[in-house]
Amino acid sequence: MDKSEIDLVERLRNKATAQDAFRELVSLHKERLYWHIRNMVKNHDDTDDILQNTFIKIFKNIRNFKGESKLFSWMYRIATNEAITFLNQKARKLQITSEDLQEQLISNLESDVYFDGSEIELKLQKAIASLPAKQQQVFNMKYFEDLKYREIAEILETSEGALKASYHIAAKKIEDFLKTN
Amino acid sequence: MKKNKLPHKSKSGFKIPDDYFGNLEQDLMDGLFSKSEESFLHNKQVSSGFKTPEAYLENFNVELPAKEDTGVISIFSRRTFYYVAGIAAVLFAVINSLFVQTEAEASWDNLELSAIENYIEEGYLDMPESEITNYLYEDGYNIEDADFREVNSNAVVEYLDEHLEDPAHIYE
Repeated sequence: MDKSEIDLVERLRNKATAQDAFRELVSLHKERLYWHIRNMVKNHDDTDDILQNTFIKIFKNIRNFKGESKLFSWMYRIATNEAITFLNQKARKLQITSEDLQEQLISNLESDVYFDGSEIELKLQKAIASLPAKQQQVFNMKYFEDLKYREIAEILETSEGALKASYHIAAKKIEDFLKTN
Repeated sequence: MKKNKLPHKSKSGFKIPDDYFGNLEQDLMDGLFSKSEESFLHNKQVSSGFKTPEAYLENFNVELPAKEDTGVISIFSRRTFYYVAGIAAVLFAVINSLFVQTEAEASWDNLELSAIENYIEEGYLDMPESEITNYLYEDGYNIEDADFREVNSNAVVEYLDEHLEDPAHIYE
């Protein structure tokens, strides 16, 4: 953690400064966390709910943050867990598998007013949805969110080597999907 | 003056489409760096296609839930508690002596883990999602504390071999 992060965490833990610090935290990270969640759940309204919950969880649990990783990685991890929990619960409510849910999310995009992707962009989303969950995460974080392998490794708590392999396998599968569909 | 002079090049009769040279550069660029399915992954020309409502991120705000600082007033005094506990203990002893239990007593030890998992999976656990996920972070901070490095790698491979539909995935 750098000095500014340590300072922010301390202010978040202090009742007198928590509110201002929280506003700063939201302002600093809302955009990146929004797109991280959006790439996972695809729909804006669901993303908004999850983002709100994520920030509330971060605030409530800031005392549990040990400072062993960057604050940014810890927040990403909470956002990831929130999005995964949401998707699992949605699949359970609809009584469908995770794979079927992914298909449904993509087919909903075609009529989504907050999706204005071209044909190739829609096709890319379909290709991503066909990947296993972990490869989807790695691909989205690298391709759309432009995170470094080192940062993704810290968020997903895995090695950089495994991530690189995972990304290349995902990219290869996507290329194959696009060629054959 | 020569009579058989060749006509000027500009009068060759050949024509070019309107603004051909203007579009040439763009056409060449599109040809080389087109959004073709093979090349776009490497050139990162394709966005996710998602958009947000107008000024959503600028106006994004999180309303923190109201604090629950109200004090808890005990409805039992300590003396009342001892009276009630004493009566309950006597009743328990009497009931125990009157009824001989033939069936195994229900306890946490007798409860199958799979039964608990099924109960939760089937959605019988009447608890909001936000409250369930609280346990992930609050109850012993289990997500951060989990240390999977301690798990024996042979056990992991064995587990995956048994439970994975396509064991080839292990090597991905």
